[in-house]
Amino acid sequence: MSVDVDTISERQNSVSKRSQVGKPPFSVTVSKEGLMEVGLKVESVYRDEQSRWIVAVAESRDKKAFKQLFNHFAPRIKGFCQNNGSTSDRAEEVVQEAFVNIWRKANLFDPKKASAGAWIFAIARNARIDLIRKENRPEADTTDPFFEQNEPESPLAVLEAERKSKLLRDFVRDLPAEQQQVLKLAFFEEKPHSEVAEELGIPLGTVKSRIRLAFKRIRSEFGEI
Amino acid sequence: MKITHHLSEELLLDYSSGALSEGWSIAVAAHLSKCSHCRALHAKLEEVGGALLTDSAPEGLSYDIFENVLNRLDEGGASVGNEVRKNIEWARRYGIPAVVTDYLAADTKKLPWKSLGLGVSQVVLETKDTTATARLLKIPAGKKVPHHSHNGRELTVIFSGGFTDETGNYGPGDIQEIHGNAEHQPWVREEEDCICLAVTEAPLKFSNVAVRLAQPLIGI
Ligand SMILES: [Zn+2]
Repeated sequence: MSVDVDTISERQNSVSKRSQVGKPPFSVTVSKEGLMEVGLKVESVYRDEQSRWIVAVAESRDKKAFKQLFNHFAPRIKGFCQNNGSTSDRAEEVVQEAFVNIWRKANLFDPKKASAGAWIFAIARNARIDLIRKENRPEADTTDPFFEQNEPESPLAVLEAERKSKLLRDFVRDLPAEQQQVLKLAFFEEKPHSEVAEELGIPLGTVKSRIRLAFKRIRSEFGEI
Repeated sequence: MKITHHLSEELLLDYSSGALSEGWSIAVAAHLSKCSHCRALHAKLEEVGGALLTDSAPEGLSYDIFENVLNRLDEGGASVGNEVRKNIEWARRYGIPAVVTDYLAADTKKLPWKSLGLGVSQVVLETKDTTATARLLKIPAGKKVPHHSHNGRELTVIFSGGFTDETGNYGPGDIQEIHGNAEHQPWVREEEDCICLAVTEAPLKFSNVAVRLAQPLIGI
């Protein structure tokens, strides 16, 4: 797609540009047919209010936004942890640790790279590993000089990614039950795929092929990734 | 950097969901530091996690939890990620990513290599993981490592140099995933030493010396 996107790319990057939340200059949306519409507002990137809450916490240390995030996500994080057999007390410890980290790390949230739900999921997962498993969570560090950066992404690709991420959420809900079950056991119960096989009483090969099928759908639905 | 050997889907799923323990996760994160292809897929899996979290059944919280959180907050600006990194000579020389150097950066001038014999040296990473052992290995250029096998899983991520074995050619950024008792015989490239991260199942603690000695390849 060859469209002059220089003006949009200025809005890319940098946390400091977040002050433009709410009054973006114009929008580019890519429709299902691949047609591009350039309108007057970029709303796609900051579309959902949960992303805006995190950005408000990062930029103005906004406690009202923080409380809204808490009201929305804390009960879900607790439910999520209890799937793993954690007691109510332990699950609430994870909730607290997660929200302290959401406050501390809000500046690292990039609404162009992840949805609010995915970012908070990752923080809650890491809090669970830290508090319940008492292990470190090794992660690729983007500030590392030996981190191989991505090819510079076009702003259009970025907007596409945001659209894809919303589609993905619907898509998970529509997966065949047996593929969804494998993903749920993995994510809710933090079970490695080998234990998922034991728990379901099915061969490891079957679990692997369900994972492959789910991934294949993710790929075909969202382009080669 | 042209990466040809990527993470398997199962391994990436285990890492993204949080199921994978620390030792193995270092290898996955080291590959992700080098591979934007796998990183894109990892981001999608975290979106799956986010979708499942968003749709999960809310549980009522004790009334004072938010209060407790507020009491633990620092008032300053959010500035995580702006820390200045140490200049680590050996990391620069070998292209070792931060997720690995963070475990080893006590001495920024040199690595505390320990000889394993046969010209091979290692530095073990101190983790909290009791199920897997992660170590940095240095294997001399041109070395043909004897035929050996490992029990269970073995992950190897290459940072510099490379090797060839029955399964293909491995260069910087590549990850090799071996399962079960598959035998292999890596042959290190002639031009330079191979520096890689190897993660294996933690050795069982046998009291019997003979059994210990029977463990394959130079005690790994
Ligand atoms: Zn890869």
